[in-house]
Amino acid sequence: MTQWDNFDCTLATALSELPPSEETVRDVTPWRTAMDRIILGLCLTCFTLNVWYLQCLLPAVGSLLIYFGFRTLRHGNRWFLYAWYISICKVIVLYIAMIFDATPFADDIPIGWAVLFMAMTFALFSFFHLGLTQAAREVGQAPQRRPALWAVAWYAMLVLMALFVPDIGWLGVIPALIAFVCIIRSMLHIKEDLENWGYAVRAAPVKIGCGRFSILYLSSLLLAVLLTAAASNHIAVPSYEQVLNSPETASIEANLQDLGFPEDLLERLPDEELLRLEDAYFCSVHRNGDKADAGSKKGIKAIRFDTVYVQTAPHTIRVYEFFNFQEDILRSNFRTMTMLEPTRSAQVSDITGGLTWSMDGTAYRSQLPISRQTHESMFFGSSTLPSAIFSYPFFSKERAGYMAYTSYEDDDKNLTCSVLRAYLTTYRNFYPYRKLTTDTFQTDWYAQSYSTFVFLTES
Amino acid sequence: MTDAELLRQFVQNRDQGMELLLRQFTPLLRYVISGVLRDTQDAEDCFSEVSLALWQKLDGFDPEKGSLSAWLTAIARNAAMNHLKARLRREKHQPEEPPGVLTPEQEVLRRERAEQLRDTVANLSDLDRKIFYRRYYYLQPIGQIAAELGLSQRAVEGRLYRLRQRLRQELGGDDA
Repeated sequence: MTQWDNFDCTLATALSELPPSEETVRDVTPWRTAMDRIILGLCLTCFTLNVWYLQCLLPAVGSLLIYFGFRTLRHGNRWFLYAWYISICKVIVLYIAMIFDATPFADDIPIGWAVLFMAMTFALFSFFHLGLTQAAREVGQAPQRRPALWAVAWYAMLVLMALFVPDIGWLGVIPALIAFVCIIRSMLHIKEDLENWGYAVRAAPVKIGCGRFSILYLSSLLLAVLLTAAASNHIAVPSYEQVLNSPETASIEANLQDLGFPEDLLERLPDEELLRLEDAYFCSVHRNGDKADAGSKKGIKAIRFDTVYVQTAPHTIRVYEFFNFQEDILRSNFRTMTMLEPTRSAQVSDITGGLTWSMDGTAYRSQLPISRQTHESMFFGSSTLPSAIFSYPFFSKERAGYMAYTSYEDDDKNLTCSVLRAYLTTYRNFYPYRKLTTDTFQTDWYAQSYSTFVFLTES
Repeated sequence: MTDAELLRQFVQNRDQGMELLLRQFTPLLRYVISGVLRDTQDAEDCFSEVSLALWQKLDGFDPEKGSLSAWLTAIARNAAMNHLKARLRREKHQPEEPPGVLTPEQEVLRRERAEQLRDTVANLSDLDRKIFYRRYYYLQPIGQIAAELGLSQRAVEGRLYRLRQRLRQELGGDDA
C-alpha cells in the first residue's frame, strides 16, 4: 500500500463503508472458479453431441476448462498437480486428433490412441479424487462424497457398454445420463464443502491468461483444421497451358463440325482425342443436361451435362460425356468425382478424360486420372465403374471437362446408353474427412447424374 | 455447518461455539487478512485481534443483513486495514490520528461521493468489478489477483490502469 497514491488510498478507505455484495464475497476465493471450470469441463467432455460440429467444439472447450481449473489448483496438493499434467496431455492429444480427423488417415487412427485417451481420462478422474480426498483431510473433514471415484466407475461402465453393447440405445443412455447428473451434483456439493480448504489454496501464477490462451488454442486449432481439411480435400491435378489444335487435326475438327459435333465442346478435346475420331461418320448430340435431375439426390444443379456419341466404325461408338461447372461453385475446389456407367452389354475400352479451366485469362487443361470405384445400384447391385477423382485449382474459372470411352456392341441393332454421375463434396463432409460414398441412395454427397441413349442400326 | 447452527451453538455454549466458528472460518479470515498484511507476524497479530473482536461482537451479528462469511470478511478486512494504517504511521513516525468528526456538510458530501462510487462500481463489467474489489477492498497484490482469476499479471495491471483512469474521471481525481 506504500506505493499507492492518494487516490488509491481514498478508494480503499471509501470501500470500508461499501462492502462487496454477498455474491462477490463468495467469488473471492481461488477455489470456486477453478472448481467451476473443472466441473463444467467434465460436463462438456463426457458427452458427445453430433450436431453443428459440437462433437469437436465442446471437447475442445471442455478440455481447456479442465486444464485452466487444475492450472489454478496445481499448488494445492500433488494430486491436483498430476491431474494438471494429465489435462495438458489431453489438450495436446485432442489438438492432434482433431487435425488428424481432417486427413484421409482419420479412419486409420490406431486403437492405441483411443486406449491412451481412455487411460488419461481414468487417470484424471483418479487424481481428481485423490486431490479432493487430501483436501478434505487437510481441513479435518472425513470425505463423505466421492464423486470423482464414482466418475471413474461411470466412465468404466461407458467404455464397457461401448465395447460389448454398442447398440444399447436409450436403455443405456438414460441411466448413464442420470448417473452423470448425480456425479456432477455431488461434485458441486463437494465444492461447497471444501470452500474453507479452498481459501488456503495458493493459486499458481500463469503467464498467459485463460482468455488469451483459449483464443490462441482455439483459433490455431481452427486454422490448422481448415488448412489440413483444405489440403486433404483438394486433389491437385497437373496442368498444361492449352494450345490451339494443330493443323493435322483441323480437317478432323471440320469433319466433326459437319457431322454436328458442337464447336464449344470440340474445343475441349486435345489433339490425341481428336485423332481417335479421324474416321468419324456419324454424330448424335444431347445437350442442355443441366435440366436433368435423374439420380440427383440433392438437386443442386451445379453441373451442366452434354453427351456426344460419335460412330467411328461399324458397331463402335466413341462416347463423350462433357460436364461444365457453374463458376461460383466453391465445392469444385475440393474432391469431385465423376463416374461413367456405360451400357452393361457393351465392351468398353480406351477410357480417357480431361479437364479444362481458365485462370487469369489463360486456358489450361489436364488429363483426368482414371480409376475404378465401387458403385452400389438399386437395380444392378455392386459394380466397379470407371471414375476420376479430382479438384479444380483454386481461383480457376470456366471449369469444365469430359470423360470418354469406346463402346463396342456385336448386334447390328443396338441401344447404347450412357450415364455420367458427378459427386461433389458437401461442406459437412469437408471435416471430419470422409471417404467418397457412391451409393446413390446412401450418399451424403451432392450427386448429379445425366443419362442419354442412342439407337443405332448397322446397314 | 450452517450459519444458524453455528450461532445457536455460540448462544448455547460460547467456548464451544467460538471454537467451531473459528475452525470453520479460520481459512477465510486468514485469507482476507493475508491479502492486506503481507508480513506474517502482522497477519498473526491481526488474526488474534479479529478472534477477540468476534468473541465480543458476534452477539451483534444480524443474520438477516447478510451471511456470516460476508460479515466476517468485513470485520477481518477492516481490522487488517486499521493494522496496516497503524503500521504505516509507525514507520513514518506520525502521531495517531484523532477520530475524525465530520461537519454536517462534510457528512453530506461524503455520502454523495459514496453513492457515486457505488454507482460507478455497479456499472463495471463483471471481471472489472472482481478486480476492483480484490484490489481495493481485499487489498490483494496483483500477482494474487492474476493467479486466482487465471489472468497474467500484465493483463491485471492493464485492466487496473484503465479502471483507475475511469474512476478518476468519474469520481473527480484524488479528492474523491
